[in-house]
Amino acid sequence: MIDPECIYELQAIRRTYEVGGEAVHALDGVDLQIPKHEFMAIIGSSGSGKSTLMHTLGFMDSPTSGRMIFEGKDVSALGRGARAHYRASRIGFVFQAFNLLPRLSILDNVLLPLTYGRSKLSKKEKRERGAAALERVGMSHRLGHRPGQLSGGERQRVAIARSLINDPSLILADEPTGNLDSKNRARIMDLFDSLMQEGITLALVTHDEEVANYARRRIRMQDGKIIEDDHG
Amino acid sequence: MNPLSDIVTGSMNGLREVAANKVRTLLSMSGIILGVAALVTMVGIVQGMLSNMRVSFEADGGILKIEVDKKDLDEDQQHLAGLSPGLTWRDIIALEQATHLAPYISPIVHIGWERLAANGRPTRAPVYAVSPDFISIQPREIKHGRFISDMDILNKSPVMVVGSYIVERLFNDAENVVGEQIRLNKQVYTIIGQTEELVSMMGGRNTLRRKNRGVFIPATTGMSRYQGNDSVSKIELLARDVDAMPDLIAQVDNVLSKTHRGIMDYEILTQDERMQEMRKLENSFTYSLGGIAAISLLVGGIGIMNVMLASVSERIREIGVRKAIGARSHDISLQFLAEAVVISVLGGLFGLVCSIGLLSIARNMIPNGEAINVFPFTAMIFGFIFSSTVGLLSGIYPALRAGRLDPIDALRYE
Repeated sequence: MIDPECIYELQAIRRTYEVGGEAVHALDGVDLQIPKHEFMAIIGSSGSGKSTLMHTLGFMDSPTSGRMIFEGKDVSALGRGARAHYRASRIGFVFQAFNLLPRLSILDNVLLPLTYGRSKLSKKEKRERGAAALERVGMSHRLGHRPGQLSGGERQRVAIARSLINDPSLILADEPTGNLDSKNRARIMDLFDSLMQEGITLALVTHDEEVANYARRRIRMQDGKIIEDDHG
Repeated sequence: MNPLSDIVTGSMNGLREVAANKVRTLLSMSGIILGVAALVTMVGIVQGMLSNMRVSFEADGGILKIEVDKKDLDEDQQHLAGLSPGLTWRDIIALEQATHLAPYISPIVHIGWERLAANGRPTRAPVYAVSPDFISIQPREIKHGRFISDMDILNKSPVMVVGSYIVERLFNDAENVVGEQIRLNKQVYTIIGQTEELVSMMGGRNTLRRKNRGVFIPATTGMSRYQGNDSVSKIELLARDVDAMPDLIAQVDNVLSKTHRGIMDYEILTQDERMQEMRKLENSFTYSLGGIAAISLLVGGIGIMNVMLASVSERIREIGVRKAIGARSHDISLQFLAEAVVISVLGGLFGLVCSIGLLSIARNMIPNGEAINVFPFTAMIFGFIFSSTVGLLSGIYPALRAGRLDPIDALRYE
């Protein structure tokens, strides 16, 4: 059964690496459904498989086995080019280290995914869209600045604007507050919360329980398995 | 979407990167700059030298000219020396009657480096006694008057044809000196013709200057007034065409062996050797320059590859970010390739600018450097295309390496 309200449906996903001739099961049979407008946190210690899960959800990696349905399509065995296309058009990434390109202006950083998304928008439309995305994160006053001129919290808000630019189905945030102080951490989480209200779907990877508490749903991972799925 | 917009995107990213790293870009360009500058400069210099040689070769009569020179006898003919009259006016007449393959035949009698005077001003110039055909063998334009005629030969007239040097030195650079009197040693001659200045129009100074100094008098006048016999210094013939040359040489040899009674006191020379010499020089220049250019551009290419590889490792994280937000392998490869091409194209252009400067310097410093073209177009186009290709080729490997990076590993890279 494919639920139309479901963005992702994962069935018995396994990801196995060879490390020194030994098989490591980074994901060891993961079943997971992500409905639209979900705000979930994936929690776990390092080596629990949470990063591999995020990479798999983000089309950065393909599962070794299992079935993966994304927006009604089977995406279990996509090639590199097809995965790049999904990353460019359907997924937004937010990183712990912000990962803005230092040579580009704030606006150009935000517009970068459009370059790779084969967008047919005109230059003006792109600019407007970038400005709107920066508006949503409260950074519209710094379009022409470079990332180096911004504080960490501001940079992360720009990075979030970048992840929003393509109207993605799912935003994946990997320890988005890991490099921020507690004040900025709260701001970013509040921003995520308000974006959630506006209808985005967000999966947050963290080992910080406090951050995870912002989420509606918490998935705890250990040894490549989901050991807890808390909808509280 | 379409390859063109991918290339545009890649090039824009590449250009931005180049602009952001000006010093590094300039350093990595230096190999290409030097390579192109050296190549174009050397080709320019060599072309100038060769064109000098070619111009003076043509002014001497070119490939169709055959010369008959005096030659010392071989040992086995030494005792016969007295029996041959040597090269004489009679040889000219015999040759004129015997062959139709040479439309122009002229003796040259070297009178010597003589004293000339007019308007109370003296100078010295080489004096040649020749016949009317001479001007067709070593071509000159008549500016005023006429060249020596058959009547002058017949009458042994005291007439003279002068070039620009004499006009300048003795006649204040007058426009027309035909009809003026001029003294050759003690004797008075009338100027009947004035030749156009011979100029090899390659630059500021005239490389054919010495040819404008000589003066011409009728062969018979020279023989009767200065030597009292009909012997000539040499004979020059101009063949009808290249195909006629082997036969003409045989005919000349036949005629002369008859008039010289089989005594080999003459030799028949063609311009073939000089031509071959020129070709050989041209080839050796081409090969050695080609080698130097190839090596220096290779070194330039290695420099670019080195910088590009460094640039890739420096930006692994950036590559990871770009890939995470949707860049495909070839988007990344194109970006780095565009960067390499931009570096080499800019380097090539700077190299061309340098070569213009170097050629201007060479023009002023090298003797006879006036023939050097400061703007050797073909060499410049070639150098530019070559350097761009080298840049493209040396960018391929780093670009592929960047494109192949796995986004997860690249993002983790510190």
